[in-house]
Amino acid sequence: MTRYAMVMDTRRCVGCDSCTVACMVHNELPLGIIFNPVITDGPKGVYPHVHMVHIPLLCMHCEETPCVHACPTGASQQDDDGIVWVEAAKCMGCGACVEACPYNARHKDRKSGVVLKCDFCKDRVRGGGNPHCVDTCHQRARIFGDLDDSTSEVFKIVNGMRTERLYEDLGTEPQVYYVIGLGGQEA
Amino acid sequence: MSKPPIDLNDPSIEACKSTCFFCHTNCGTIAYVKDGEVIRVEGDPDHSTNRGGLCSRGNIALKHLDHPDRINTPLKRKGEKGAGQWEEITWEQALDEIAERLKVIREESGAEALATCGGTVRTDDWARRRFMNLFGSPNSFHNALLCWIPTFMIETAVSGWSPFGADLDNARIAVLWGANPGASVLPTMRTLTDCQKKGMKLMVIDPRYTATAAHADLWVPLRPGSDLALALAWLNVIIGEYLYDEDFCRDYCTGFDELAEHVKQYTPQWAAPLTDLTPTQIRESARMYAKNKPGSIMWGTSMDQQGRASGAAIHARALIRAIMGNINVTGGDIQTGPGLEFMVDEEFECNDVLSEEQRAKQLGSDKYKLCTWPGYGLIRDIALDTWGAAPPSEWMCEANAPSVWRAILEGEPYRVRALICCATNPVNSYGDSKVVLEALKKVEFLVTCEYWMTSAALYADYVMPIAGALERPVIHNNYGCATVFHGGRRAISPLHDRGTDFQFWRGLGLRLGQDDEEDWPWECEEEAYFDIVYPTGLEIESYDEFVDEIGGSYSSDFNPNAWREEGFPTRSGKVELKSSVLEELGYPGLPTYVGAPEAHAEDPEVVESFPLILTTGGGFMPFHHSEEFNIKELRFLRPDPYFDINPETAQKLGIKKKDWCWIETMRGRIKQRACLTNGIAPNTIYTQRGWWYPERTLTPGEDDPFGVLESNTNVLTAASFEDCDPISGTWACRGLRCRVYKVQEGGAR
Amino acid sequence: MSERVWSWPLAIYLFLGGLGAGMTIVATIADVCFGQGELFALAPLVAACCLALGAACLLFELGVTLAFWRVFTWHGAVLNFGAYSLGILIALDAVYFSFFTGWFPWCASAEGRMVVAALSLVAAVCVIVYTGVELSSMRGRSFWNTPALPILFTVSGLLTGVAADSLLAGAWPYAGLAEAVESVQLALSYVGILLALLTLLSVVAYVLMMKTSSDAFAQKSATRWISGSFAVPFWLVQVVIGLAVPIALYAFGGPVPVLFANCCVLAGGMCLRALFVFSNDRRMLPGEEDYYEMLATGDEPFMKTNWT
Repeated sequence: MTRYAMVMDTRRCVGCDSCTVACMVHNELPLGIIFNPVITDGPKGVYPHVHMVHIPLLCMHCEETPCVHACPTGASQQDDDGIVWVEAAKCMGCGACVEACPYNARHKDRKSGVVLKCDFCKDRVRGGGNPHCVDTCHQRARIFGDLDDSTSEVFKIVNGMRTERLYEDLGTEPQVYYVIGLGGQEA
Repeated sequence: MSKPPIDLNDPSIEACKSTCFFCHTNCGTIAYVKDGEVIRVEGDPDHSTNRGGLCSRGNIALKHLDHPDRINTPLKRKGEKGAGQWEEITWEQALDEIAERLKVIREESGAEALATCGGTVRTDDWARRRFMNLFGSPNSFHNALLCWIPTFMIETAVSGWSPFGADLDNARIAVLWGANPGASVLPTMRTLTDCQKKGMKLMVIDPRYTATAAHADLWVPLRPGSDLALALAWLNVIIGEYLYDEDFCRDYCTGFDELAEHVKQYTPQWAAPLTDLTPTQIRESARMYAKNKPGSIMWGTSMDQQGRASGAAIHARALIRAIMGNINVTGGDIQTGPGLEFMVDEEFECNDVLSEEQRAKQLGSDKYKLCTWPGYGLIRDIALDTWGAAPPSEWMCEANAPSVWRAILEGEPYRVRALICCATNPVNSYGDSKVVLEALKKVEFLVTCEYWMTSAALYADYVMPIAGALERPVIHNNYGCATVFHGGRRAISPLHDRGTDFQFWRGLGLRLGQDDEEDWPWECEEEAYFDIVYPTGLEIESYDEFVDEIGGSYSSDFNPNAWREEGFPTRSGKVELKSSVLEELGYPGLPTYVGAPEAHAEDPEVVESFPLILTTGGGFMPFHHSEEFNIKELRFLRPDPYFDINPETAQKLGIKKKDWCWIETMRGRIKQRACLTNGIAPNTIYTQRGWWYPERTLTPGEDDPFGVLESNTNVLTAASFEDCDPISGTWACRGLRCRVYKVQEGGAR
Repeated sequence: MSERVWSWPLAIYLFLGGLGAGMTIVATIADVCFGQGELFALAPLVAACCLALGAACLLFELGVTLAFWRVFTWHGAVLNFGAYSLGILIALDAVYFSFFTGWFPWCASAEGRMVVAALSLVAAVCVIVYTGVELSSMRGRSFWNTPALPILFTVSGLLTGVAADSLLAGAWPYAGLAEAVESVQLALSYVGILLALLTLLSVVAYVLMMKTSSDAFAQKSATRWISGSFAVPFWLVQVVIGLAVPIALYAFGGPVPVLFANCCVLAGGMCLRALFVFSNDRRMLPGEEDYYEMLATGDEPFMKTNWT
């Protein structure tokens, strides 16, 4: 089996927006929709004793998918490899999934009326490649791979290092793991 | 949602190794071309610079290529200057008419009445210099002085060649002194992060808590413009605490004792009030660098941009590295010398054609001697003696930009009548924008080679449509100052009626009596680039073959230990701590303290009316210089200009988050919005650079076309003769004095 | 920025859904338990219309309006449950109403009417509960994501149902109901007072619960209700006009005060739904709000320029 996941190494991310733009451009997103923002936590503290960390985001491709459960048409679906995606032809744009997602990963496109979201660049990754946001990252802060493959980098990190997931308490079982290190330091 | 991947097995799609062109890092890209059309651009995973990475700017290549605002055909001015009325003409007609005009000007006023100015490498600048030398004018220039050139020339004056090749893989510490690769040169940031993971320490000296500083082991937040004081204090600590490399100083340096004596006065206590650091911070930072040997002090633009304090600061930094023996050692800073196995830019420039008489007319060379013919001549001779190759005169030996603007406006020492701007909007990128804009309005004959209609192009007599990255081959060779080079292919022929800068200079040259066999034997870039590559002895028959078969990268061997036997490539064979080249030019041989133009102003009136210290010029993603403000995908992320202010200061001034404020110096004021951040000192302000508003429609008689004076930080910068560095001539973007107050007249713009 | 996809149309839909279901519940109970069905003969018709109108409002929220039928091709989501229940309830309400017209052969069947009434009651309970469940199932929306929300919506829905039924009591022209109308309105006023007190209690408890929640974004919404930009609609429209005034008027009694009370209840019910729909605050990560605030809004001149 394959179970796609992403690791965010916040010790490496510098918040350069490359991934955001690569996704916008290559996936031809309508202007105004961003699948993978990089937010900045900080600088926190009082000058000069400050620290800052950049947090790259995207759809968490949760195992427990509130969005898919909220979808009343079956347009939102999750494949066996964990990729959550929207079949545009079935979407009526009711927005239930948008409200259901705790991660702001779903966006209703005003023009087509349907909901758009990150699908881990599924055609690309199923052909053996990486999502655009991963390939474009100079810093290698985004690491993509198969959690069921014990030789993959994501497997090694998730099973070998302390990682965190966003809003674990919501029980969504996100498949995006964060290696946390404040101010570039090891956790 | 994602688009299907490119089918690499589709025989009609060619994967072309091309080059990114949106900053001078020139990352490798793969352009996928189908039926003569580029359908996708991605980072080249096999390229040694970027290893597949591509920043936000690189990703918009196709938006840039097809942008509706691109200039696609030569334009000839119809109405008044600046009226924005144009006639579309052919390249032939444009070149004929420009050449005719230049001929007249040369006959009437001499060749030096033509000046040409450039921007960040988006061009083949050896071709421009070749044209200028053959034409007979010494007045070619860039904003080179803001970016590495003073560093290169001063370091070369000290040690024979700038040791800019950092061996980070083996370094125990890297000091980033006024550099923020996390928002500028991302491949460098990646290397630093990789090395940090292996145990290298990272120190960032910067008034701002940048993306890079956030990853540092030590952040040294000095007052903008006080780098010289800090560097001198470091020398004091390193020598006073016997942390320097005694053997190296004794055997391979001259002037150590004099230096030791000279820096005794520059104690940490002395530097503390100048730098806003504590003596302990100064000592600790100096020790951290000195005790983690080998280490690298990497180049950052900050010292190049401090006006009259720049030269001495760069000199002091070079001496820190030298007395630590961190030159040409594993894990230190490496002098590669010029490329010897391929043709370097200087060999294409025809510098010998330019007579001594014309060289002497180079504007600013009487005042600022190192980066003009007097200093460059010395350095070039030494390099030619040592290697038989030299740094290029383009970049290293240029007319002093502030002097050129004044020559246009005031006619002193002579009037510059014609100006050709290539790949630059000087109003955005040169100091003291109001003066620059006046000069552009006033110059008798102006040609711009541009992608866009900018506030400079608006006043042009002719605007030439220039081809972008995908439409031309690119070779990146550190101007021939290093032993490696990378190249990429032309993915497609120039669209519409666009052409390259090479075509422009060649076409102009041929029309001005330059010879097509002797002077311009190459019909296109590929032919010239093949001449660059040819001496390597690689088995290739064309430049494209070099890219396709060899991979587009070449690195020649050099012996980093040669200095142990042969000495350093200076006249004395040693690192000249007290530089004989600087002394010969009439400058102090050792760095002597001088305050930045304004950061250390003592005039109480100035201090009172401009209480804050301004730093500017630092890059920020996703823009590069004044580019990409018209690319919606990028502008969407950063629609407005922002300046950094400490929340405490903001509160005192009644400024809230996102408020539009005026930032004012003695030269003018600009509007930006407030970003409240604890990553900057309460007495310091940082403004973003490059801002203009390409979306604005032009109205006739507009004083401020495209809002180029509205938020453009160079309205604030200082470039008077007294502000400039006497050694290099660079002007001041950092360590200025300013005041900040809210914009009152009901809102934004 | 929280992605906002739901606004007024959804609020109206939730209000009309609760109202229609509440009316049906009150009317069918009156019929089945108290034999007073004729008094509320018009209620199922008006309820069916409200529900249909609510469903039509929902169409405005759809990105692809004409694809609305897809909701009936799937099951499993709360919205599917709601759509089916709503559809069935509209149909049942229509059938139920038909018994009172005397136009159809089945009108005489008392058993038939009881069965349909009972089925309508079940469907109406489903709909009234569903309106709250729909919002409370959204895990990331701190102010919604609690089981207390369906309870609040149910109580409030019943209250609006009582008010509407009170308005409609005796409206269908049966002979000899005039006196009964007064007494049933009196009874409904007591029920109304009870439900209004319950709603008041629920809503105040809800807001206080959110205000003291450990979730900063739930707190933020609650603060907005208590003392922020929602304070006027909340305190004035929802609490005072929608609950306190009707309690007083119901207690005072009399045709005109009761009429006013009923209208106030309906306004308050609508206000409550709108306040909730506009309180979809999502949990935010540190720095996330700043990020979205920095982006272009779409109104900037450069966004409207003819660039690719």
